[in-house]
Amino acid sequence: MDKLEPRCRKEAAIPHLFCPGCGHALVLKTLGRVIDDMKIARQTAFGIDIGCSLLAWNFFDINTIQTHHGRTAPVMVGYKMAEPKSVALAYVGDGAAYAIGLQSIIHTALRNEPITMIVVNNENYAMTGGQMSPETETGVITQTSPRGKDMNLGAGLKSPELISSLGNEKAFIARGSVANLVELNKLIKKAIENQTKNNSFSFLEVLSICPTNWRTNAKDSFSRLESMSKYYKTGIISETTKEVN
Amino acid sequence: MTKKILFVGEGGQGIQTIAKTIAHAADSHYQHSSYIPSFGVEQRGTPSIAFVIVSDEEIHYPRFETADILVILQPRGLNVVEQYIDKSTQIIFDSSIMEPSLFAKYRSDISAIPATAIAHHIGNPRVFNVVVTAVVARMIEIDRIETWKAIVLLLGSKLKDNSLLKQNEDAYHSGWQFELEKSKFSPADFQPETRNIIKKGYGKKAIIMPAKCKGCNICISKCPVRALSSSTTLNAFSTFIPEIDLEKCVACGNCTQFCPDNAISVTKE
Repeated sequence: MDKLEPRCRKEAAIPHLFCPGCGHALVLKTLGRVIDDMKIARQTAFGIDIGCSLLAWNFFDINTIQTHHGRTAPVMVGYKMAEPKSVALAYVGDGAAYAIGLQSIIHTALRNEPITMIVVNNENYAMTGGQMSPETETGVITQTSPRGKDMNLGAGLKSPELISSLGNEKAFIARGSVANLVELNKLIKKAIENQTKNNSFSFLEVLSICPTNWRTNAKDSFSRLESMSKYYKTGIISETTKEVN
Repeated sequence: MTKKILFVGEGGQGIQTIAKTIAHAADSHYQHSSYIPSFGVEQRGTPSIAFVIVSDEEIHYPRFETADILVILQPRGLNVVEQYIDKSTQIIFDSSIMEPSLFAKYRSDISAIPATAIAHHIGNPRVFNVVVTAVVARMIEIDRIETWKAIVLLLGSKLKDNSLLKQNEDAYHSGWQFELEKSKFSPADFQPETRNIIKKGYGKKAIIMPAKCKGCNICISKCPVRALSSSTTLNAFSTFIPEIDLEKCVACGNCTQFCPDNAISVTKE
């Protein structure tokens, strides 16, 4: 096995299915490193959604399930109920998680279901050709907003803040970015530990890049990511301070 | 007269651009034309397919069961389009990357153009789809000037640079003038690099893996000392792999960390 890849990576699926320069690959690579470090590959269940996130279906050599339209959260909740010792990871894109599947996330957070949710936010529906999503900031040009997103359609939805306002004190809620993979590694680790040690819900949004649909080169992708992180502030949004037994 | 043309190649090669250009330009000679891509998980690394019909009669459905002309530009696309080939299908392939023996079992008429070799000769491997467009346009007797107009219309924003425009013009003319190879084919020596490139020196060791690299250039933009640059070596995805200058490199590991494909590593020895 290639030493550069995480150990839990599926060897037959190299190279992966994502576009050149895709942020998903960076997030998954970091997630793979965390799974290796925590030695949880055998008890992890990895749930993916429709959209570009489903291209991760053969990324890891761990148990993987795919469902549609934001229903990854309830599916992983059910899995966790059946297998309480497992580590349930839901890996969703921003279109599926925040547009069509927002109610699933809100109720999962409200009931403090012990799963870890990772939402990759690249501000568009990438698999279908880069249409505008609820995350798109005002003025941003996409396939369905050729003159820039209209003010009337609302500024980008800040879901981690929305979920933290539900008042679930045990939840770990944070936002990371592929611009800083060291920080992202720490956040993913904390998000998984909040599930395994505190038996609580954790939610991590990751700001990501989409060079294919943004029509940017490597340098411009990362400078757009930087301007994105001015609106979507990265860091821990809420976490429990006291240890729960 | 109706011509059904099927284009297949690697996602990212410009297959859809060729098909769109042909469909656009066809109205100078035919009354109707249609173009439709094959929808699937279209991305780099999977075959990209486009259906084009040009006809004097009205076209009722943009897809078809057997192709009159099959333009194939990557060997991997062949098993996807096998069902569209029959005895009367004319196959055109890129002889600089594919062996003619691949088509031996089909008993159809084969001809070739070494498009990749021509594009390399012009100095920009990316203009290879313009070469192919010219070949196909001549074959179905579309007007030479109309086709060039369609290319300028569709690639307009990319042709602002004068040197790029010149390269595309050269590619177009050489494609138009090229006599298709019928029996004696050019050698297929433009294979993508698949072996790992290992470079040593200045106390450092760099490994670049063209089998995994997708040519996104993130490593080049993330290098703090500009030790990386784009080379002209093609990888398996028809893009260019980076090149490293070990004298400048400080082995910080940024490229390894930010590579989405885990295709590059630099270590101190």
